Amino acid sequence: MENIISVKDVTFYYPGEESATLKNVSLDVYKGEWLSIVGHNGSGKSTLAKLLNGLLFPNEGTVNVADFTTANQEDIWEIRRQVGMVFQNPDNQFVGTSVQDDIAFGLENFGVPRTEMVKRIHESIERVGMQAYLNQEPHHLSGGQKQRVAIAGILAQKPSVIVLDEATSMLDPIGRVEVIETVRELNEKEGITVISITHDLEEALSADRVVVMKMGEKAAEGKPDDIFQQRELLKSAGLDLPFSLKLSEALRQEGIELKKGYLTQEELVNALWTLA
Amino acid sequence: MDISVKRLEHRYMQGTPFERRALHDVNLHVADGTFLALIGHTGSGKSTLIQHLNGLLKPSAGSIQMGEMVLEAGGKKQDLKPLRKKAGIVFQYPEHQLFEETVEKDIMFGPLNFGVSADEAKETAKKVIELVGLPESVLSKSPFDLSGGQMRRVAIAGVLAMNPEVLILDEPTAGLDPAGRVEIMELFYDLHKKNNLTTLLVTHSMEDASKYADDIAVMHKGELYLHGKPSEIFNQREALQQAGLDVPETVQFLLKWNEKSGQNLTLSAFTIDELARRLSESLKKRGK
Repeated sequence: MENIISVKDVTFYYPGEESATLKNVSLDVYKGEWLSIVGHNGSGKSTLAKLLNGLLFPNEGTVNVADFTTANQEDIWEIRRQVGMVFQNPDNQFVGTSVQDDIAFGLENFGVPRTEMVKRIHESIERVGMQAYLNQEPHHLSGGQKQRVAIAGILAQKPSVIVLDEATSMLDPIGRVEVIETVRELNEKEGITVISITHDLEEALSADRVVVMKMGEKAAEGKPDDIFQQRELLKSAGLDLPFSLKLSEALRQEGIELKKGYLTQEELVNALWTLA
Repeated sequence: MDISVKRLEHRYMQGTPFERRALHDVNLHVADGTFLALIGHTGSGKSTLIQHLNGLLKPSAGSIQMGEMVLEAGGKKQDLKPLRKKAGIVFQYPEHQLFEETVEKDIMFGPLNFGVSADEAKETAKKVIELVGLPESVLSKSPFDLSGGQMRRVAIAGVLAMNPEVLILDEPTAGLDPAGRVEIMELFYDLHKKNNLTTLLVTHSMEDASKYADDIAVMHKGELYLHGKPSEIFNQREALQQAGLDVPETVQFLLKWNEKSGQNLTLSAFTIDELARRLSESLKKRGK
């Protein structure tokens, strides 16, 4: 598979800290995949995210995006254009006084000409399904809608990667689904690579690959099927088991003979049905 | 402490062109010792409601009774200190409110403000830091040298130091990792039982609401939309979905199972163990 991002042997210290926040982390992100990064609070997930688009720079090692590297000052703007970030708090990243101003803000920074700008604003707002809100003020929007506007702002830059840094953790259940569905469509239909830093295990279950961070190191990497069977690993990384796996385990303790732990409710319902 | 909310209305920025009605005709009784979960989508009025309970917001109409104290629209100014001592609020991201040089000073700040002696406040700090599962050695550290999860615990300890009778929790586990989330919720649940508290939990997690609460109040568009036991509330999936909510995972699973098997298991298992027990009983019955 073709890499879009390569992180090599990265170690990172925050100024004044004695111990490294990231220790010798290497990671390949494949073009077009959905990669979930999970881990306990303070495991280094968000720091890693900020290294991916040159908001932070490694003390050791390299971060490459396509043919560019964050070590190279001239590459930074191109990297930030290609790797868009959606942060946790929807209220902290709305800069415009209306939806269209907010999307225009990023384009102005990149010096996009006005006619092109208008075109891109309309295109990107449609891709997140918010065209009816073009002239709305931010306080009329729900959290999920604000995050979709943030995503539109990124899309207008024609990015190749979207990084969600716990972008759904402050939203209600509906807002969460709204944002994830929007991003999923971009991932599936347009091939945009998604890196999602999340505490939501059910979301991580539907990723192509999962990386588990623990105490600043990469503790595991693999398909959700494999990662989520490793109970001890998950516990030690401050995580929990997904619902259907926990239920599978509880059913086994009740003496129900299941062949394995099932990851989704549908699989488990079907497995139980064949026993009945 | 009994809590009684009567015909409560709240308008933000009343008398200005920006006036907005956030609560309308809310009537809610919470009996002493109840664990109540308050659910509703963003903007439904949950946070506005709880801010009335210790006098941070005043009713535009209607009244709130907290124990003996009555706060009503147009009522006289009264000393809110006794109320604020009894009703402790843990706000969202409470660690953002830490400010002192040491954890100990931060925890002592509240009690000192309420006239407790320094020695007594120190003793309290020791007690509550243990209560939230942190070692005593943390007391001499700067709160800002702690991890996010530890800071959250310190902030919670600061509220517990007031020894409140009513605990109001505004999404206390937001942003925590899954293991931390369970630990914090278990901590509150233990306290609720041990100290016979009246607890109000604002949450987006239907799982936590179903697992811990005696009663659930659902807010929608500034009104009290549903109020009842978890088994009553989570039997009404359509109504919940209309309010932008859903049933917890255990109930979702029961619905899927009932549909597949043609059985009619009641939708009232709210923990994984309970659900497993119910499913295995029903499977074994069929096997015979």
